[in-house]
Amino acid sequence: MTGRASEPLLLTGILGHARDAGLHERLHAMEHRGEVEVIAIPAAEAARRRLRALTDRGRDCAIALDRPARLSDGAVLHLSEGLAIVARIDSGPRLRLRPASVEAALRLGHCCGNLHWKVNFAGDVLEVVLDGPREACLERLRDVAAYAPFEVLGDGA
Amino acid sequence: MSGAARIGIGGPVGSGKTALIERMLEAFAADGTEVAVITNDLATDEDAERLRRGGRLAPERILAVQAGACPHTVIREDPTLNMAAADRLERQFPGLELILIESGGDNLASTFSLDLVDYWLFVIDVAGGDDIPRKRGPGVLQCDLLVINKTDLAPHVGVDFPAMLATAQAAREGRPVIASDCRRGAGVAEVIARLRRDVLFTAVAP
Ligand SMILES: Nc1nc2c(ncn2[C@@H]2O[C@H](COP(=O)(O)OP(=O)(O)O)[C@@H](O)[C@H]2O)c(=O)[nH]1
Ligand SMILES: [Mg+2]
Repeated sequence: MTGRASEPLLLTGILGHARDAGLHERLHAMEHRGEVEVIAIPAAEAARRRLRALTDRGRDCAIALDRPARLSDGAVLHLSEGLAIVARIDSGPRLRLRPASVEAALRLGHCCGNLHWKVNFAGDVLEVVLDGPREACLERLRDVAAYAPFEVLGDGA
Repeated sequence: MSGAARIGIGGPVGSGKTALIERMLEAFAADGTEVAVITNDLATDEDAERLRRGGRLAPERILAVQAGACPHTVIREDPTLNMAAADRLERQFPGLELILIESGGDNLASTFSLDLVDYWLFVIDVAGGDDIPRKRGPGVLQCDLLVINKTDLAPHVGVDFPAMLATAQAAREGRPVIASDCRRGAGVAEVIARLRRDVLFTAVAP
């Protein structure tokens, strides 16, 4: 890699985790000196092995990981004298739905699956991980609500 | 760098996915980029055979996967066949920089799994109708790069192309859209420049 300013900083591996015993203190000290930069990645993008992204200080980075590697919240992507770069996976907004009955739950789950939505199950609540506006998601469920009634809960994420 | 970048190319049947790949292969042959292609046809190896006949790439660098089902299943729900094919290409050609994975062609809802690809294009075409960007299909909205191909046909099919492009850009809220004419090769250099910037991270030699 050359050091030309126009080229992105290439990040090719996960060096550890911000919570790792060995790294935690070092990063903490660096943070006090303003040497830690963060790349925020939406949860829906975290499966990517390659992406171009800016750190919170505007540093242009190109991430290219080996295929088995997977970005996780706190993954340390760069560590050198005076600079650490850490990934932050933003879990993002959810739409929380509570089906009115077992039958409604079956139908709603089936429908969300057909729509290829990412969902989490939290007890009797279905959490849809939003990849667009909340209204658009509710709009898609408009007809479903007739045969699979559900309650829309507050964000509470 | 970490293995070859894997790039998906989706979009409706006939929009020009194979034509775009043929054009890109010309450019990659000229600048020496190490590339391989995986095609997904329903039940034949048509596209792979066509690319092999094109002669821009050694035939063994073109693999055909037969979906045998709705084409989106092998790029999204269960991409293991394609992942295995990509792994095989990487093992066989250690210097590989790029693997292009063409989808068998599907409707506007088809998307790629990020387990399979690092980046994906969706190719629609002018003759498919200028209302396509307005229909807000997941393929059009979620892809990393939208290509609107066959700009040469706009006058013949009564499409106001600047308006269609503007609609697509508005629907994508600032994410990239590139117009192309794969008959004449227009727009292909722009597509490649995007890929270099966003996933290949390689500059073209001056
Ligand atoms: N006029 C015109 N025809 C094109 C263009 N790109 C592709 N085609 C033609 O459209 C047809 C379908 O193209 P193909 O690449 O096979 O589409 P695919 O099914 O998406 O792979 C072929 O007959 C191509 O020659 C273009 O930019 N302009
Ligand atoms: Mg094709």
